[in-house]
Amino acid sequence: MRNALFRRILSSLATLALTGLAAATLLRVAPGFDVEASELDGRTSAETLRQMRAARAGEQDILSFYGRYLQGALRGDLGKSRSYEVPVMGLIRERLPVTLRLIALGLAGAWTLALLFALANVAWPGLNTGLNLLTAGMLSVPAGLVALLILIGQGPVALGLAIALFPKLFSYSRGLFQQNAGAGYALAARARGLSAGRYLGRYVVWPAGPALLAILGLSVNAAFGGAILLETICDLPGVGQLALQAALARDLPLLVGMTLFVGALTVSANAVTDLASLYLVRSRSGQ
Amino acid sequence: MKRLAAGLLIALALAMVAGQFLVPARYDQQFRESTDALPGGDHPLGTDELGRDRAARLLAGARVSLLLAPAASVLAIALAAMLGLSAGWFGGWWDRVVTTLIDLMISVPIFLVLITARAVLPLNVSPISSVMITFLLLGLLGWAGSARVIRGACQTHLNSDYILRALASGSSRTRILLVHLLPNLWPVLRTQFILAVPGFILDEANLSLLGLGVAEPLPSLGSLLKELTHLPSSANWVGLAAPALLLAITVGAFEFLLPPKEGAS
Amino acid sequence: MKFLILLMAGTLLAADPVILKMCLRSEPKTFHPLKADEEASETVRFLTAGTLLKINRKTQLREPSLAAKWKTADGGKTVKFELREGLQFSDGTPFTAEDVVYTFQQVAAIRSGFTDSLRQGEATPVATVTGKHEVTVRFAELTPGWERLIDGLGMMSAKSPLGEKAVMGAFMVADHKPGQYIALGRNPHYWVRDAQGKALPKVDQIRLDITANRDLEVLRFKRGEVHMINKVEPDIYQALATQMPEAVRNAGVSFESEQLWFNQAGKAPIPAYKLEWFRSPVFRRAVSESIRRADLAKIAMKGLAVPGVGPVSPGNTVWFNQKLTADVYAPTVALEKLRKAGFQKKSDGLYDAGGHRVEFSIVTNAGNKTRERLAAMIQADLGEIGIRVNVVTLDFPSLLERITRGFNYEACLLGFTNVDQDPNGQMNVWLSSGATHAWSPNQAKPETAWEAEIDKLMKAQARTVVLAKRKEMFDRVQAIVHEQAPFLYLVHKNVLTAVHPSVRNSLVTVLFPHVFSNAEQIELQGLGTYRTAR
Repeated sequence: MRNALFRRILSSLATLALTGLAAATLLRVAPGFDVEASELDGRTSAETLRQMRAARAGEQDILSFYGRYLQGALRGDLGKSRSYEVPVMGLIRERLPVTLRLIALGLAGAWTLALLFALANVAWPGLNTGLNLLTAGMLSVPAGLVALLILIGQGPVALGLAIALFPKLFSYSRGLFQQNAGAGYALAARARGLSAGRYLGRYVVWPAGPALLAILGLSVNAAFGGAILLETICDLPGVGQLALQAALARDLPLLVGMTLFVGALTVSANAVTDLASLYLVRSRSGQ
Repeated sequence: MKRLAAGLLIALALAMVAGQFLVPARYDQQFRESTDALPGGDHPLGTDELGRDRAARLLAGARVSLLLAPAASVLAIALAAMLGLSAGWFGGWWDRVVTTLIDLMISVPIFLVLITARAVLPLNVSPISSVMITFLLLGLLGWAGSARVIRGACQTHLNSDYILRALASGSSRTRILLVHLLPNLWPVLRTQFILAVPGFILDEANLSLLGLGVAEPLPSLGSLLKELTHLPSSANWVGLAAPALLLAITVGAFEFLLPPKEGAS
Repeated sequence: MKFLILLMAGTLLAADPVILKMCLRSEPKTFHPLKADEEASETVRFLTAGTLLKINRKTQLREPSLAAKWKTADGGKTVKFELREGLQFSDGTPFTAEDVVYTFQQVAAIRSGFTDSLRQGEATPVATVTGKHEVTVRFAELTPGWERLIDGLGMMSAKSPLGEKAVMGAFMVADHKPGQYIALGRNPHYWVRDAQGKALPKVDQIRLDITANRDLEVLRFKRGEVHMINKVEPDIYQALATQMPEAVRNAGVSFESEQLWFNQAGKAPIPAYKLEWFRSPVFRRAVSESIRRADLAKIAMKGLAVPGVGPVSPGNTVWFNQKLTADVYAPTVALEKLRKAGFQKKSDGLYDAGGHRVEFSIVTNAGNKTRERLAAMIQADLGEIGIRVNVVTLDFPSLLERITRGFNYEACLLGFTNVDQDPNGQMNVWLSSGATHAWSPNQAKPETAWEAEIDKLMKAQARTVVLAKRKEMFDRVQAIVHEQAPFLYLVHKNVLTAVHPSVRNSLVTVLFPHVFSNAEQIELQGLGTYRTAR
């Protein structure tokens, strides 16, 4: 177990470093990397344009840039944002609470609803049609509309995130539960006259544990993806909004810093859920 | 219920094929004297802000998206199944490679790939080929989440009693894979597929921000769904909501038609 | 206990600060007055910087500001400014003639679009102290319209430890959260008083929220959480006009335009036969005459624009060439001209003399609904004469790269905003050697006779003082551009703004800034009590 833990941490770190490099390379090769909107300004002279372009020369070689960047990152310095001209670390620190709160509330809401509805569906299969239609409807509405309606109704933005995450979590956990409920040993237990609560808990939910854990890590990631969209539309000053702006503004230090930071969060979330599900599986097979 | 769902899908397929006969207007014809028209008369769903018939656009958009999104989903899920299954099955270093790849795909801002993809595409590609390329890219890049889920499910099953029993009774590995594992993974694959279809359709709409959405004058379900955000200030809510309704019906019909499980052991 | 009561009374008595709220579309790139080149930075500069003189945005006349008066000499090359006495920067540092000299030295040292507009070749104006409160500014060459440049030149302090943060305007930057907001507090040392002798500005703070989301901005405007919108998009204006008719203001035709141009750059990586079409004035004019401009204005711009005429909008009454009119829709005439030039209309489309099908792509920036509508309408119009148009939307940096670096595009649809009212402000657009001579920039020598003529006229008008003479020359430039159509002007937008009914004294002007050119005079009334009826 300890060995597995150690290996997992090492590979997570390697993944993280790769992620940052991939983001930096992608931004570097994306068109418009070193063009400023002021190049369209009819007043700007050729000499000024030349000097503006020369100022960006330090970011041209991506490998040496990334090497320097990682050295700084190890010291806790994520560089200075080009578009905001302030340290990236400060920007993230300032905006992180907004996003963490949004993601936490959205995830909690989505998971609670998803598990409750999935269980209800297994307990009362008659709900199937209604719930199918509900999820189909929720999958078919763009998040932009949900966000706009929340803005107009001045509702909580986290509700939008919960709505966006719910259908996937629900479909997935319902599938797992239904599969478990249909398994031979579960049916046999039911036939033995086990109480509904114990039957659901022991034969439907409990065996789904590892698979649910696997998707828990993923849902953290999906929540961050949703936060980008919702924060942008609802103008919530979180890190999600910042990530999109960094890419659109071709802000290399900010984007790499954001990717490393968000990558660290998601890679560790995935690693933790992986290890937890590994532990669950092993402890059970050891029974 | 299944019959109803099948009936709806067949009706939809017929409508898409026979679109020209149902709605006489072309999807790109601009009736400039009647822009933003309400439903009725010549235009059953009204017209959009350029005076184009919403019904014609809905049928054309549905044709584009409902053919391409499932295709992209099949591609993505196939990739996911191949990687997730092999990672779970072989384990070891291959598992670590796949896990790293998945984490990388999830954490890296993929839309930078899409921006770059637009940049290397020639400018004079027809709208239909550009939207096909978009869905192809979505399919090629959208497998990571599903792969992770499939890998997780695969591991769970490999450790479960029935596989262990099958192994103990001396079944060959191929037999275990084909007879025991795959059928049990079916519900996961099915769910991932059904979720991916509307996901890709909406993704395509959001890509218009990066210039990779469908090109004028071709409509797609995604670009039509995006107009839903005008709902609060528009009088034509029927015309605006119709694409969402169509998509919901299609997704719902898939839910009923694809059996949730197959040969549970 | 007594302390607590005192404390409570104190909080009750202290009036809430009066905060005027607006939105910026993007993060200002800088707060440095000489580096401000884009709209967000220019907004902050306008509200914080003090200048020697001001152009009244309503009357378009010059008004004294930090300089009480001035006199020109040497045929207009030298200006002698007499400064007001006893003025201070926002941190209390006295404002002196040395500060003016310092500011002009900074102009020479700093490179930006703004300082380039004061540069002639590589030379910048030189200021010298010629009296206790007197500064003489000497331009390297004659600079007609110099007043409008001085109007943008925010005075900097030579001595203040705060550097460029010490300002002479009504407001100063008090707080800034990158990507979120900028709070401008009142400048305690601001020198202008109102008619009753009371200190200005009237509001305590201007809060500029940074948001690119225009739907959200208008939603907050309707709730009274945003007080003014400087530029309202046509769609939003139309909706707002029915919901809050008392709040929308249409100031008439702006100086801005939306335009389409073909890539004529020799090094463009596009097929040679296409480059040949694009370089043919017959082709460009035929395309221009096959576009229904009236429809563009009516449908794409919701009727809140006029058909495009030329480089100068009819809204710019000083410089507009009255003899020009927007191209009339005449597809048969256009086709006839094309036929004479060797093009051939077949049943499936238009072909050139070499048998190539006439097809090109129009690039524009993604996410701009107005431009996407314009492009889709042009696509439909040109389809009628057999030209196949592909509309390609790109994210802005990708678009910039194509039109400024690789020249890998065929036609581009963009709007030029913030257009200077004086032709000198567009020098680099019209000179064939200019970097922003969009259709074929940085020419070593003019590639065509008409570009050579424009070069000559533009240079000549810059050396002329008499306005009527300059106008005559620039009229000719406008006529050439209309005739040769390097830019196809599509529409001139209206200046659309929104001012909440709780705002008093706002001056709505065609010139930028459209709603707050008199920011120090603006008041808020019925704060917090005003509710829209709907």
